[in-house]
Amino acid sequence: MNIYIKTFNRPFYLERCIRSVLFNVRNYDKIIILDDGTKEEYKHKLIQLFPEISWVANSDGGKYDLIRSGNSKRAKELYGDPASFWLREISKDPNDYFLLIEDDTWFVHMIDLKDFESVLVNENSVICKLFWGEYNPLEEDKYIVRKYKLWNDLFIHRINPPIQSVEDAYKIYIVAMAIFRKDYYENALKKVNHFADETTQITESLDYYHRKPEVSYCKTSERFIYQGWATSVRHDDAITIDVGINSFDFVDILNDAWFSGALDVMANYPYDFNMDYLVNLFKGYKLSAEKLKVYVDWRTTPQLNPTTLYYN
Amino acid sequence: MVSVIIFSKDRPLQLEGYLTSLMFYSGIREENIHILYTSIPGISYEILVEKYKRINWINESSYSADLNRLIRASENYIMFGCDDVFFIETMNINHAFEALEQDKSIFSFHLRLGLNIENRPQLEQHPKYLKWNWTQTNSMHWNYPWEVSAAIYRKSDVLSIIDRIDFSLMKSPNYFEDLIVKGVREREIAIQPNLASFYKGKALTLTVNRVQEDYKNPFDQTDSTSVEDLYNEYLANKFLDWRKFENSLNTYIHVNSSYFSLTNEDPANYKRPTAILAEHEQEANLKLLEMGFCLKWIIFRNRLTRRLIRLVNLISPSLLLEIRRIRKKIREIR
Repeated sequence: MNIYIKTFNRPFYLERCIRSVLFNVRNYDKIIILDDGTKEEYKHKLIQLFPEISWVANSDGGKYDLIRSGNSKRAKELYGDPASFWLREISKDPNDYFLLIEDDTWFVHMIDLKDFESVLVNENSVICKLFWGEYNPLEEDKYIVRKYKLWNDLFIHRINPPIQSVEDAYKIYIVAMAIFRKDYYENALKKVNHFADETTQITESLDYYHRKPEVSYCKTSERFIYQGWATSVRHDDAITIDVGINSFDFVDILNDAWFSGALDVMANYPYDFNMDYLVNLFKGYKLSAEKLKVYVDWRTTPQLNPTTLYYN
Repeated sequence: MVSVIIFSKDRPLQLEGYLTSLMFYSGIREENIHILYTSIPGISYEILVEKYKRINWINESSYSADLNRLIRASENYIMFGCDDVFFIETMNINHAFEALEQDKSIFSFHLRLGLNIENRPQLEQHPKYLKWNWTQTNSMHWNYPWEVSAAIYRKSDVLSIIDRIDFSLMKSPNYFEDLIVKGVREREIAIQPNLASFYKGKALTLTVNRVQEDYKNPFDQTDSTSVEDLYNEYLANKFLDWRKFENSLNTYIHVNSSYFSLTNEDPANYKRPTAILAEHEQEANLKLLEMGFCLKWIIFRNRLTRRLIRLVNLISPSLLLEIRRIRKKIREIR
């Protein structure tokens, strides 16, 4: 099974992600970086650090500069949408199953992919979710139909939740941080034109669910992956614009700190970089108090940042 | 993540037991392991150095300087280990990091301690670990915050300790442990008040020989387990049979030669169990219950007093292990 890591110019998170994979994941074929626009100097440093990793680039550092200067439309014309890039590359994978993660995520438990594959094949399962947002055990544990015990005393659960609405489909799909069967992922992405379009993916998964009653769905007993929120990957969405935060400022500082060796990528592992750590780093870059306040507010106020921190 | 720093002197056979049992039960890989070793003339580690190539092997030239360098180059968590230890059951090492990151009042995470070890102090039971205040107990081992046999520390804490002491005094792991403990007890070194462990001890120290004379640690001399005897066994392709004691219920962290066994089978080739359907595991557990009525009665009625456990342990550690397995299964089935 291959591991794909989607990234867009966040080497400080990508290195953490890769290190966690190397420490925690066993029995994989290749780690493949799906790079949508990491700057050349960062890419070279990462390749030097991890020469064993395959790197597939959709664009060069020019894409980041275009988006940073507000020319997202031009960037899309030149480089296409990342979703079609991900689909194109994953479609080439010769195996039935693959693991897909994002650069701002990291493993927090050891995982043997051979073990997982044998369970998924056995259960004719199209996904095993390794990460999720909210989870209500009292409600959702009722839908566990079978449990597989893993060597480290964690479990894979085959689940059979009632799927009645589009919202319910999130129980059987996630955009990444999961092991996918290739046909399931291809089906979800085939009509997607914008990388952030989750609705189409969910709708297609729902359709698949109704068309293919013979398949099953799995998740792990605990989150095997945590996700970080030091910066938003989205530079054009309401989350960042509404609160007046320019995420590029923070991405640039963190990238620069990483490049110069001032940032410890594993700080606070297995949790995300904590606020004090980041604030001290930003202060070293003479970020104004006003900008710092906006950042801290954005990161800690659930109303401003719906992707709250409790995932970690 | 973690750097495992292991100290070894004259014990390649036992060191291999440490390595193979650690990697088998924790999933930690060679890349995370550093071994500082030394030996008397006539004992060589070359076979191990060749066999485990991705481990960072350091043939000691100056213990204090070599160790200092290793610590400074470490990852954010440091696990110290000694070659007279081996591991006895599966552990999720990430849960230890999680505890250390989540709770800054915890100084260190101890892999030999757990509910099976006697003289427990008052323990706080968290879902994935136990926590206690070492300053408020006189219980042996439980009041010992700094040990280098099988414990995990934050690198930042280790650095702040070694920066406050004369590190050149560290001549061996015994000094490294003892001088720091003295500093802590005499309040020259301030550390956090709490310690943590898994619910069950994951490792034990096999005291069947001694490799230094500065500290007269007692050891069991009933069998032929001197460093020379074991080196000959090592050259004869024998391995420490740690798997025989899987899930043992040792009540002390130091165990005697009843926990010593050799095998011809190379533990480096052991495969971890694959994913198993939980209900199949339960069926297997039920079969385990088809055994002598007396034993079942003792187990079901929970008549295993601490004294009886000790007695059974003396007679046969593996019987105790079997009883523990059954008790665990009974709890699950109920």
